[in-house]
Amino acid sequence: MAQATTDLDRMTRVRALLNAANDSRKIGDRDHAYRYSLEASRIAPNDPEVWLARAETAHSIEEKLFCLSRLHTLNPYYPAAQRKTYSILREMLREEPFLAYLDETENLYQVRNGPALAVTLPKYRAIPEPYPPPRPGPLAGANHLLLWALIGLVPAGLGTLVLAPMAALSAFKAFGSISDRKNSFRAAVVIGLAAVLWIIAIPMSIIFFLHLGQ
Amino acid sequence: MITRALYLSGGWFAISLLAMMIGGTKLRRTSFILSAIWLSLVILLGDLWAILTFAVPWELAALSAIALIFGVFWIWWLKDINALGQIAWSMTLLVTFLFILYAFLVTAFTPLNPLSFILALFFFFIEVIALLLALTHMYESLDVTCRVKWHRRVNRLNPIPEYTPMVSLQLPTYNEPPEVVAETLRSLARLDYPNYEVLVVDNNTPEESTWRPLEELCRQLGPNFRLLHLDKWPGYKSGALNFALTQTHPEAEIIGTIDSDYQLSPAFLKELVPAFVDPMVAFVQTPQDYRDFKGDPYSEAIYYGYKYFFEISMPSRNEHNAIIFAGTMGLIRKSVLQEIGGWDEWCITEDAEASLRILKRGYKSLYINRSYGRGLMPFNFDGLKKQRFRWCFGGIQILKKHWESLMPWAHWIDPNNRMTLQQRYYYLVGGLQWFTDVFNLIFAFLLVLGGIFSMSTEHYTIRPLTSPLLIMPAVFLFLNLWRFLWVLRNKLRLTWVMALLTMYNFFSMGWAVTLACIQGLIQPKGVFLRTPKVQSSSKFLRALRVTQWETLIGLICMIIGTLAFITNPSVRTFFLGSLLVWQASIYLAAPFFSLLSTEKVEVQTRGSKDQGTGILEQWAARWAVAITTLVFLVGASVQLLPQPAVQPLYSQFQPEEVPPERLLGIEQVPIEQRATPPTPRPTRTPMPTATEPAMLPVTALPTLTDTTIPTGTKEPEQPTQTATVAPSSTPLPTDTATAVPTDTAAPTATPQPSSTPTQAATSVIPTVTVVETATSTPELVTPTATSGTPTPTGTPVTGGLSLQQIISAADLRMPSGQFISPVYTWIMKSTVNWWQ
Repeated sequence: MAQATTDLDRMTRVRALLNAANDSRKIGDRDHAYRYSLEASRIAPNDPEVWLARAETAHSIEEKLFCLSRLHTLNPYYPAAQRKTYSILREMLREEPFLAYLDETENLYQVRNGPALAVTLPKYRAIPEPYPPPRPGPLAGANHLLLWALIGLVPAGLGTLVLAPMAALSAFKAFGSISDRKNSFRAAVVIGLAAVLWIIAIPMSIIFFLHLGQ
Repeated sequence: MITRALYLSGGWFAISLLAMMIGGTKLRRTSFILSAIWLSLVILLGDLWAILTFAVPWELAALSAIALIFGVFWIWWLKDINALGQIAWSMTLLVTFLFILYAFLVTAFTPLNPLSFILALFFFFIEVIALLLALTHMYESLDVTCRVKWHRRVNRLNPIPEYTPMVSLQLPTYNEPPEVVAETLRSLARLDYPNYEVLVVDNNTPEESTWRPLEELCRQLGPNFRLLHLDKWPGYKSGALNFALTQTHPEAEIIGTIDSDYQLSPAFLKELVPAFVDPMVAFVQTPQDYRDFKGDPYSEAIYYGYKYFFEISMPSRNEHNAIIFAGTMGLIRKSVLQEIGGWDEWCITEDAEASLRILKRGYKSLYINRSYGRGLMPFNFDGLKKQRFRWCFGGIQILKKHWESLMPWAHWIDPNNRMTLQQRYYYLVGGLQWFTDVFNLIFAFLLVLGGIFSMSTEHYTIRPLTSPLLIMPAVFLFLNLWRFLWVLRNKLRLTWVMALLTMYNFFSMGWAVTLACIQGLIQPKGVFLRTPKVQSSSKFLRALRVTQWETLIGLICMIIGTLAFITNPSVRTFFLGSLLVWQASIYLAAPFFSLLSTEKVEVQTRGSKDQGTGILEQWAARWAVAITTLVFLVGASVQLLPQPAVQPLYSQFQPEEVPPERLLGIEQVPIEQRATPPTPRPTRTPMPTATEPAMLPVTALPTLTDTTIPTGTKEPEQPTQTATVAPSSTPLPTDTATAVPTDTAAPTATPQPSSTPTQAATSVIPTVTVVETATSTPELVTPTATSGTPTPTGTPVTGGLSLQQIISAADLRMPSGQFISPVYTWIMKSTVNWWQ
């Protein structure tokens, strides 16, 4: 309860500081605006809005970018911040177009302009499905067996006769650990294809045994 | 029956394809009636030939009825294609199906030892795959040359003055000559469009002196030109472009990627942006065109090779909303690019990969076949080879990543996958077509194997070389090569010489594509090809060094083919030798073009587009060598096992042989006797088993040797007996298999100068056979050959009849006693004389 009250107080205080900073900026008092936003960022360092406010009132480009980098780390999908970052970086890159790669995450780039200035930038795009997948899926084993069953057609289907049932069995077993629809369908496809391959392999193997038995 | 059906369908195929090549691009209307009439005519013409020569009436009627129904179905299905194309396609399908069936029956029911059977089956599988790939090439070229109604073709879009969304044009560069990029930037400054920016994304160029001048030029060109230099940046071009998204103007709605050597037409944006009025249009692509190629045969051949893809493959794909984004000279909607997560940094052909992901989301694409800019082609063969390796490698990567999305059941697994069946087909086939060059290498090697064994006295049996397996692949090869040349001449308006050069330019890339296919399957990440270098001032040596593998393979094929015929002249070895020489020409095209490229004056050096780890060609080749060596060892070990000594029961299911002389009308058989298998001809070769007089009943044993062709061999004539085959203690000479690549034509997708892959695929239809050893002599057999009266030396002996007698018999009275026209008689006589 006490914690909640403290949080509420903090939030109220931050709102007040941000409003004050906004008002000061409107009347052209950049110094006060900056102090208010600075104070707000100290009180609520995890609030993206305070960093945006501070970036708008900071005096140097470096500090602006620093603030925006903090904001992006907290929330990569903040449209106003994206625009702000773009316009600042554009001006900076006009002077010196050099950007060195430092690091990246799924959502962010970290780059360096010049010897000391590190900037964090959002990627502005969806996170694609990683490839190769970090972990094999539940049907990886069954898929491998199915592939080998297909290759097993080459020696007159003999390999398929053995491997296709194994692939189907592996897919059946995987059903137990599958909870999503996608993988359930995949398992069904593996079983179906294994059956088809097995049917194709039978006459080939019969013919092979005819050749063997002559 | 199957043999006759195959020949009949082959006749229809030949007639329809030839007619298509004569009038396919001229017939500009569709009509069901017209198509039905043409279908009937083709069937009738084929039937006429067949009934005069080899056909059995009831079989003919049945097959004609099937062909009619089949043809009508395709007339209905391919409504937008003219009659010539519809019938050519349906007959192609029919003959392909029958050939596969025939080849399977021969493979399955020829008396072979088990290992031979497995090997024959392996080759049969490869043959089937190659045939199916050949069909895709055929369909693609028909779809464009014979198409009358286009549903999505757009020649040009009209500018919309009130619709001018902001466009961000992005130029990825790596180590490019500044003067080349500067020209590109100046052309971009002349674009007739009010609302765009240009972002030069210099990615990891090591020397500041290379990219600083561009920075200065961007300042001069105005505030909407900017340069970014990215240092130590991962992900190569796609990584750089992904970062460029963060620096794209927030108001930009459309992104264009332009290669740094392209000079654009001022109308580029004005005429392409209107396509995005439709909110479902995600990307627009125009052809990648080139400059500075005229007058140089090497450059022209490459240019038209590229152009093939944009004149044939892309229009065909566009009809089904299945084009690829080619990475340059295209525009893409920014929101869609962001929606799919940007460019894939794993795949080296990130542009084509992105287009697949876009189409999966149900968006539309548009291809406008109008050139809006011209870039530079690779200056030398080394560069071309690396480029093709890159495209093929990327194509295989796309297959590896997205194969499940392209399967017929993909929508059940992932309902969010909104690709249509046609889209999945084009992307799947686009990836698989690269593998035709791998098959071609295997077949070349089998031919070499056959050639080697034909020079020895040992038998080597994989599959008997029956007449259809001799004739049909030759027909396929010839007609499909001609078709490809016809497409090149008609759609690209090339002379015969240039069409031939262009075709061989495709072939010259076969080795690089083979390496890329294998590496694409096994490498976990992108690699680029490092070709061998030689420190020599001799252009000749440098050119040969770059193509050392192709030269080696070509020379082996040439030498073995020549030796095979010289040491054992016969029709089969002539056939085998011809095929080997053909294969040699394919591989030797590489050093030819490499030498040709040395004649070019290299005006400026180009930046390398290689990304990933470099892999030495020698190292990459080891896989190809391993596969072919394995095939060789298996094939060689087959001969260690004995062949069946007696005729097994299952051999009765072998297709019967129809001698080629029947097809030509040389051997006249009454209609009522045509269903009876021909009598096996007596061989003039002394049978080692003369001491074993046991007779076997005559069956339609296709393993008997050349049944049709008199060779004038020097073997002594001896009295022969008709209709019996003496078993011998040695294995019966069987017509063994010669790997016969038949259709090596029709590369469909040509490489694109950006990172998009194209399949410069040569489709090969092999029939796997190995040339038999020279223990049997080809002989004509006629029903009237009843005695083995030796004839004087010097007179070709054919089954006991003299040539004159044969010609007289071929003077061709119908069973009813009526004479056939003198013209036909003259043709037959001339053929027999030539054969002699």
